[in-house]
Amino acid sequence: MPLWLFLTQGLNHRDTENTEVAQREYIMKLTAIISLLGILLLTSTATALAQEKSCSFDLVGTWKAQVSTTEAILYRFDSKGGVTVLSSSGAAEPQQIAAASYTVNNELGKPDSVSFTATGKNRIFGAVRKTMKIVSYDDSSITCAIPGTGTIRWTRVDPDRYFIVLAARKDEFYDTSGSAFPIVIKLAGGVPTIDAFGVYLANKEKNFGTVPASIYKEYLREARDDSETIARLEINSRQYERALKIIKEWERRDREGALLYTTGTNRDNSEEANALNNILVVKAVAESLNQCSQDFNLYKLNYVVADDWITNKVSSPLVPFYYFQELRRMNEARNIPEQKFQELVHIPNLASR
Amino acid sequence: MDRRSLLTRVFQPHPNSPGAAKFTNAVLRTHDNKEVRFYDDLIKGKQAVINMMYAECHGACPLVTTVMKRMYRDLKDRMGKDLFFYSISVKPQDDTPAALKHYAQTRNADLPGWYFLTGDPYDIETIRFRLFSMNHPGIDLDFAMHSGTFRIINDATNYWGHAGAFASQRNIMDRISWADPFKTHAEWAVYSRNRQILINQDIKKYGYRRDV
Repeated sequence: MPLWLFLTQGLNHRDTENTEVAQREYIMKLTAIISLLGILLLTSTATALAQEKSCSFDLVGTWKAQVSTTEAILYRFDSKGGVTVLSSSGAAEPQQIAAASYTVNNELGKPDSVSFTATGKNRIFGAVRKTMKIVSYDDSSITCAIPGTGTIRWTRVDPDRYFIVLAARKDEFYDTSGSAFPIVIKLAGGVPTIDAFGVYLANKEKNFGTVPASIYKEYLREARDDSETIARLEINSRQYERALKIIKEWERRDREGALLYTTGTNRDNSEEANALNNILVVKAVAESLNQCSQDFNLYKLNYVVADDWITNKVSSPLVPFYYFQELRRMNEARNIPEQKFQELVHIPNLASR
Repeated sequence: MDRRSLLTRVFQPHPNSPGAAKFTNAVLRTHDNKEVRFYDDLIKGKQAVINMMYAECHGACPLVTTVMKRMYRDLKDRMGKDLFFYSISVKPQDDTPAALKHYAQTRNADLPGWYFLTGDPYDIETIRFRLFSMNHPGIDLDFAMHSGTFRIINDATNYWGHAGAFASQRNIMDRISWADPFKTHAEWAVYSRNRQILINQDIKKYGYRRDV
C-alpha cells in the first residue's frame, strides 16, 4: 500500500463515530512510519560507514617504461626521496642516465602527481624540474602523464616471485571439517620464505594458529581427492605483502590473546570461536588480493543469501573448505599445475603422502 | 553518596568479572589526549554505556550523540561518579584526540564522565569484537552494524546488556537501570511503583503501554 494511502486511511477514519480509536490508530501508524524512516536512515548510514580498503600507492622500487621492443627506461625509486634513471638496451647492463630527487604530491588524501628535481647537471624528462601527473595505478603498474612527452605506462620490475596456496581438507575432525589455511610464499633467489596461518591438525588435535612447516609442506602437492582442495596462484609483491600483513597480524593476535572471537570456557566454545576466526583469516587474505584491481575472480563470502550459498548452507568450520574450493574453480585458468609448482618452489624433504 | 565516600571510592570488580582478558587492557587516548587503559581505568568496577562512532560521520553518529546527551541530562547526578559514557572511534587512524575533542565540543558533548576514545586500530578492532560481536562474521565485519547500539556494562555486578540507540528514551533508561548496582528490596519496591505509575499514565493517554 502506498504511504500516502496508508496515512490518508488513518485521517479518513477520524470522521467516523469512534474518533478516539481512529486517532490512536493514526498515531500508531505514524510511529511505524517514523521507525521505518529511521531504519532507512540507518541503512544508508551503514553504506557510508562501510569499511574502506583503499589501494595504497608505493613508488619505492624499480619501474620500467618500454620505449621500443628492445629499449626500456628503468626508474629506481628509493625510500629516501631519490630516483635513478637507467637506460636498458637488449641484454646489456643498464646504464645510468640521470639522477633526481622526487616527492609524491597528495591531493584530497590521494596521490595526484610526482615532482622531480634533477641533481647536478642531470636532466629528467628533458628539464631540471618536472611534474608528472598520476593518471591511474594498481599493484604492478602506473599510468602517468608527462607534459611534453605524453602518457606512459610503467610496470613494476621485481626479481622475486610470489605465490599463494589456499589449502583445505574436510572429514578430518569429528565435525566433518578439517585443516584450512592460506600459505604465502616469497621466492627470492630461489629460496622460499613461507608463512601459513589457520586451522590445522597436529597431535590428533584441532589447532588454530601459525601452521608449522611440517604440516604445510604436505599441502604443496596436488589434492588427493574430493576431500581436499588446493589452489596454487602466482601473485605480485604488493598482494604478497598485504596477505602476509594479515597473517602476521593474526599471529600477533594469537600470541597476545587478542583473537577477535574469544575462546569460551569449554572446548566446544573454543572450537566455535576459532572456526569463526578462521573465516575472518581466509576471507581477509583472499580479498586482500583484489584490493588494488580485480585481479582474481573472488567468491563473495558476504553472508548475503543472494550472493553466498556457502555460509547459507554450510556450518562455520566447513566454510573455509568450500570457499577455497570455489576460489580454485573460479580461477582454474591461473592455477599452477603441481609439477610446475614443484619446479618453481623447490622445498627439500617434502613429506610424502 | 556523600563527598567523602566519592573521593575515597575504590571501584571493585565483581569476582566473576572477565576482567582485562575479555575487555583488553589496550592503551587508548581520550579526547583530552589523556592516556588510559581500557579495563583498568575505564571499566574495572564501573558502570558504563559504550557506543562506536567516528568524527567525520554525518549519518547515525551525530544522532546517537544527541540521544546520549538526552540520557546524560537525566543521569547527570551520577555521571563521572559511578556511571560513564564511552564513545569509541571506529576510525582511529583518522580520529586524533583533537578531532574527537572538536566533535565533542561542537555537539556540546564535552561533559564530565563522557569520554571520546581513540587508539591503535588493532586494539580498537579487538575491543569492538569483544563488546559488540554477534558471533556472525557477516554482521561483525561491518562496523556500521554497531553504530546504532549501546553496550551497557557494570563490572561491579558483572552485568552485560545492550540497548538500541534509536529505541525510546525510556527504554534506553530502563536498560541502563538494569545494570545499576544491586538494589535493596525497598529500592525495588519504589522502582516498581514508579514504573507502574508511568505505565498507567500511558494506558490512560494512549490506550496501550508504550516504551517498554
